[in-house]
Amino acid sequence: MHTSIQVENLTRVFNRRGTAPFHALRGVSFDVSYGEIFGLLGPNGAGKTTTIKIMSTLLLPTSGRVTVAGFDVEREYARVRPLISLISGGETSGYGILTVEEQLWMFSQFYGMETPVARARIEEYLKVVGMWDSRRQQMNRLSTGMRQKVNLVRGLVTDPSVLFLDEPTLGVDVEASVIIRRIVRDWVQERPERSVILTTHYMAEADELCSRVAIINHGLILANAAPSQLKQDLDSRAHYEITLDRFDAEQLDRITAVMGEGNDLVLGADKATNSPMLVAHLTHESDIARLITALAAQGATLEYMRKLEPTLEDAFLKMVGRRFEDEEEAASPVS
Amino acid sequence: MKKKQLLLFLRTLNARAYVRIFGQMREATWVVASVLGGFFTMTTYVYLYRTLGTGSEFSGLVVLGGFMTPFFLNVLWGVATQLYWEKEMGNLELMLVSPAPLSAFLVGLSVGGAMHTMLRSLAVLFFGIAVFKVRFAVLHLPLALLVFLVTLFSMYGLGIVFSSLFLYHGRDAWRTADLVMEPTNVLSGTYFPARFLGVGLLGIAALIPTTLGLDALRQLLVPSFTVKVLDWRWELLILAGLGLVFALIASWALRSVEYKARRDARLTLRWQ
Repeated sequence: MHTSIQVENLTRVFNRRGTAPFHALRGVSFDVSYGEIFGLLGPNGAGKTTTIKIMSTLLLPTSGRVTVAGFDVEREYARVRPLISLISGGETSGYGILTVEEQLWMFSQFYGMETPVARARIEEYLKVVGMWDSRRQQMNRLSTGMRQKVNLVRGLVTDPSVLFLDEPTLGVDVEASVIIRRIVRDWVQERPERSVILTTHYMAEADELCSRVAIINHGLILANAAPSQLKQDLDSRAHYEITLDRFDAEQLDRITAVMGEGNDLVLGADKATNSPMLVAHLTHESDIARLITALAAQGATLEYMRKLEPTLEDAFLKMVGRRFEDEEEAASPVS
Repeated sequence: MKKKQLLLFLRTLNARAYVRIFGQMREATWVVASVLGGFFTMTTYVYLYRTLGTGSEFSGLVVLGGFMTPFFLNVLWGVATQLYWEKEMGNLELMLVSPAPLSAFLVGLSVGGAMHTMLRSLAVLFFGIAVFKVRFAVLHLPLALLVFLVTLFSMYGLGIVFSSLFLYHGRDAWRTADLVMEPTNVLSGTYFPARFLGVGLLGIAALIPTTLGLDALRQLLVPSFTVKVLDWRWELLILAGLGLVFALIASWALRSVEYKARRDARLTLRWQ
């Protein structure tokens, strides 16, 4: 079977006493293939966590259907649970009085693992995350980054087919984030029957890890494609930033005429050197050669040039209408 | 139950019990404080009875009350409220996402809680015997042990029933538990013969396993104790029946509460 997760027309309504029903999901559909890291991006209250909770059997859908490894999460949840692991960012789960090793062993027992097998995997993964030396440290003495590495190990030790990562690097330092991302990528590549569902606030993280991302807002999927496709769909033009030794408005007019319609040129100044800086929005990638030739003909010397690539954040901003940083006002009960 | 499921249940039980038995041992100050607290409460009642000039059997019944009190507190605060705490700590989600049944976690923390509490209770008992020179009859010790184990079974069964209610009703149930703790302690006849409660109150008190359990233990271990509620044999039967009923209710309640919690999103909202 090719599909690891199938989500069909999923809705979820939260009824609260004294308030209007909250529609967290309004007909969400997507699927995830084996071997894939699939990203769910959206602002607070968009429905990401609600979707993950339903997929991981913690919440029932109001309508629609979700299957994980071919099993219905609503009716066959007992068959889904041995196959999945859930890791959330900022997680404080477990017991502070236990050591790292004890905590991981305890969670492995909840999956019925034999102790020698569990201990071998705990050792393997603790070494991978660089925490083998901290195995006898009590959980309540670990830093946030260390705790999150332990949480990751906890999720991997049971060898799930599907790993749900809900903001896995939230509040974690750069070094730990890099390690977590590397391990997730390696883990899914290691065996073809694995897949990962990731929600994250960090666009670069989604861009780096995910083969596909779905952008969700107000309980609706706005886009579902590879990050490169989303960025490409944003703007098909090529963008360049060119710093010159000298350039004026008259020269700009002449070059604009040479480049023709559809190619926009904007003159500004380099913030660092105060040299003239030309921002070029070109219809075709190949037009850059014509532009350089035209600049040389005007006697301008290139000091620095770089191509401007659209980011996933730009794609997100275009679809959602606001950045992650601006989203605080919208919050749902679970998301 | 298939072998694989049975193994999963036992491994989960063992792992959850481990936290209670070994994890809590690391909090030495708490262990010492709870032993001393139990001992001083017991001391107050022993001196009160001595001041009133009652028979020496009253010191024995107080020491037995002091022995059982930590179990009662463990059931109330360590079992009944535990699922609520697990939710607050973020463990409940992980417990539910795992293939292990909720009952395995609760039986595990009951077994672990009972074993950990046993050490503290035995310490209280030891101090009681050593300081107040209380003497117990050892002739019926095996029977007393049976009564004690059946009482624990019934008590922890009740605790698991309450844990479902706590999970579903959250903080309201927490406050209710706080409110009923002392009255329940009184109704159990922890530091006096429960028969003095009168028939009306005894009807209610009999639903609390410590009431009949303590009464039966006093009959078996304190020979001069005569103000019994019922014959200890009847009390043992009632306790076993209560235990079975609580176990059945608990099993149903855990499944039902998990379904309702998934339906109403109560497992995912920490503030509820």
